[in-house]
Amino acid sequence: MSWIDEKTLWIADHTRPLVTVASVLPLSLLHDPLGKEGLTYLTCQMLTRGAGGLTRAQLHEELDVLGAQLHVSASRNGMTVSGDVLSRNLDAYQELVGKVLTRPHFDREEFEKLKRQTLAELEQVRDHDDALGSRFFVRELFNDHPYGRPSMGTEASLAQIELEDVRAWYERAVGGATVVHAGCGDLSAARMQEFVSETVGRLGPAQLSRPEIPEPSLVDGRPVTLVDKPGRSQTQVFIGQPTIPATHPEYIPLMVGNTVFGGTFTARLSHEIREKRGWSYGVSSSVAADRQIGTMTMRFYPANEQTVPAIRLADAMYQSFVSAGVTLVETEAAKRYLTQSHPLSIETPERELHQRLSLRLLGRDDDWLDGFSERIAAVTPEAIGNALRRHLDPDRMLTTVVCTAADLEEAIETWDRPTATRVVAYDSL
Amino acid sequence: MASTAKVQSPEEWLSTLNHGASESARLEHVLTHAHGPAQIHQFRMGNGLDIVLWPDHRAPVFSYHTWFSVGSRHEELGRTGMAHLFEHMMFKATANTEEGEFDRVMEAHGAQTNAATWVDWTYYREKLPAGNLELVCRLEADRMEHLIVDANQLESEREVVINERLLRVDNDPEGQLYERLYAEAYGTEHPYGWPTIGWMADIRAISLEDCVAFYDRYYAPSSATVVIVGDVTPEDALGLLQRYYGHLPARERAADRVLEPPLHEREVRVELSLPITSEMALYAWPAYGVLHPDHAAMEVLDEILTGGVSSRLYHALVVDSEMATQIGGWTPSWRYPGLYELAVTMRPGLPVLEAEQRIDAILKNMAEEGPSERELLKASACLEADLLRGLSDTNNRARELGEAAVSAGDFRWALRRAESLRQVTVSDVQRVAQDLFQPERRTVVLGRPNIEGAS
Repeated sequence: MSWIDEKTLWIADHTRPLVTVASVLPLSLLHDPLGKEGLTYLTCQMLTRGAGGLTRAQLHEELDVLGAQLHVSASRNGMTVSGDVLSRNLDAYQELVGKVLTRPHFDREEFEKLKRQTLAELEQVRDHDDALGSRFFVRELFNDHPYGRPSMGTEASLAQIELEDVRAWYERAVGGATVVHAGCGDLSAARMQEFVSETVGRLGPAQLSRPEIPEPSLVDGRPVTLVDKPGRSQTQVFIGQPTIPATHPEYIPLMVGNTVFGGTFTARLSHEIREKRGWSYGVSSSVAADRQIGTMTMRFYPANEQTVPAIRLADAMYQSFVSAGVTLVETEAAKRYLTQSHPLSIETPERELHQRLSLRLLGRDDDWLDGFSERIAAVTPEAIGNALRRHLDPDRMLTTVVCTAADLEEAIETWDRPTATRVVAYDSL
Repeated sequence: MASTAKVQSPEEWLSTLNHGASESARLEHVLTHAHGPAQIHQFRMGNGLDIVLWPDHRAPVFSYHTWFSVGSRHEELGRTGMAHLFEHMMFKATANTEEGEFDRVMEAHGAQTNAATWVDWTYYREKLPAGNLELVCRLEADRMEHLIVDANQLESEREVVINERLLRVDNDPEGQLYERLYAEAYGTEHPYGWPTIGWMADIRAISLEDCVAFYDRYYAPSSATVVIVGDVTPEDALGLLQRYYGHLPARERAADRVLEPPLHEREVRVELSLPITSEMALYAWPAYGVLHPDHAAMEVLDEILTGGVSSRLYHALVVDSEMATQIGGWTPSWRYPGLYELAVTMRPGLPVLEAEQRIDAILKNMAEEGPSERELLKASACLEADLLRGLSDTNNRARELGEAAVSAGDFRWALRRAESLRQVTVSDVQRVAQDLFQPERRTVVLGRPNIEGAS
């Protein structure tokens, strides 16, 4: 692995005739104008729906003939253009990627198709209880905050977006100072540089300012939302709260603490809810790594009759976790797991590439991976306890449950922690 | 200065290892297969344990898989789900390790572990940093020999499996469609007709005695293949395998039974009423077993039909007419003939029978005219790239080799796949389309929305 220049990472691997490339641009979902949520998503999608004289069908046929993949997507942390190709076809791939980025057609018929498809996909999320629960949980957790905005937009916001908006958004927002490029596989450093200059390097400057991200509001008490869907014999439970970003000095102690609480098969949550009681096939907690606002979330999916007991148990465990912290034995076990498993996260060139790209996306230092074990080694139970008490609050957490509400309402009333309980129809979002 | 160290041959490794070894521990070199610069070795222990080793020192990591030749097709009516439930039991206590110790020790060494069950097999996998091979050999051999199968362990895992079934089938519309598809296509008495996770009533009925008998019958070296890929040396690996598995006695391998494909005389068609927003459908035809000479041509056919935005069915249904939001195909790599599947999800409000007419016309055309040379070229490039993507990770490679060893009876099947795919011709694809897409052999499961607010 080496940095060719400040922004270009290259990992050589000539054992397979495959090349993987990725570039990150500054545009993010957080740049979406209010009322036009989904604009960045549609803009990214339109780039691969016809470019450089090729229709959408022709473009994808050309990519397939090359054995290539090309993805253009955006997250809260940036826009990513990535893909791979059989190395013998790299020249032709470069030409296609260049066309996609610099000569998109923005064909009206394709745009209308994309909007119809996006609306259908938004509706079909309701068929999948986990995705449905996630939609309600995130939306309610962040409310009007930019983090609560739906990445693909809503029926109302998509109706406000015209093709001209997308074209103007592309002209204004796609391009500029690239955050980072990375390539790995069967190519030389010089070829990597050429690829960058002939693709992303040909984009003009972007007129983007850093999006203003206010502090999120804390959850008001312990609200519970039952997302009412008919015929459920099992529920999907989300419990969580906003917390610190990935760059915060106390993120690492928080991450080690979470490993003890719900980060592995043997963590406290898994032991109590799955191993001892068999209440859920999967159970975990996580601290989502994000550039500006992290999210602590507990997830499990018990049968109806086990749902309230499982929520009560998880809540009691979380209170104890935050107030009493973790033991030295638990800390050392979590540290061993995190440091020992670290080589697995960079086992392949592709995995290392994506890990190093994510550092730039998250605003972490480039030496994060190399210094990972040292940082973990320095964590103590006291540091974890301090981080937990400062950045988690068991009395300000949102609980979202996808369920058939009538099956749960009586049981939820026996639990004294909710400060408010409401029932919403599963198709109300 | 060039190294003068002589590279030992497999026979030289064995001459040392087999010196004084018991009959059950004696190792036999079966073959060495060259795959590019890599040398992949197969050995067999006297007790029947098969061993596949792919040393690769590019990253300080290795993957260790144990594949047992037992899956849901080896189960009995009334005890479906046995193989999968037992997979869960294997993470419990043994005579030498406490409850939870397996996972605790693995995690302390940074391991990623898991397991899976399907029709032909059950496998257990670990990926660890280099230097931990002895630990895995010890723990895997221990649970193959000394698992404690008791009522407490069974009941706690039974609950977990019931919840897994609620997740994957009972509360998942697609899970319900697939379960019904196989039940209709094969009938409830054919082992491919029941779900690998088992019928709920059977999961509840499995007894402790069933578990003990299952463990005795199938969890033995003669039913197992250990696959190791990554930063290990063959000499070390063989020595450790011999040390930890060599004392296990040879046991007769459970007899296999040949399964015939379902050949209906008339199309089977059913409808399910489901909590979904759009109509869905599964279409399936009897396909080829993994050893069939046209298996590769079937994979190419699927790629041409559904393998990307420019594939025939995706382009016609999703891109061009927009009547569907998704269409996908799947080819089985099972020992005996499974089903070639097409799955379609409509745009809300549109009837799936509209898509069916388009699908029928495209399949008929494929059988009558065959694909174009360009379609073949495209499918070939996409499949080649897919194979290369999968070759990067040690776990993926161990999985490919293990599955081929168990389902095809030879790990080299996975490594020869690229060449088999390259040799497929336009007329091969056309012949397979003619053979597969016979209307009277088709099974169709339609999903209709049934909840308020759904279209």
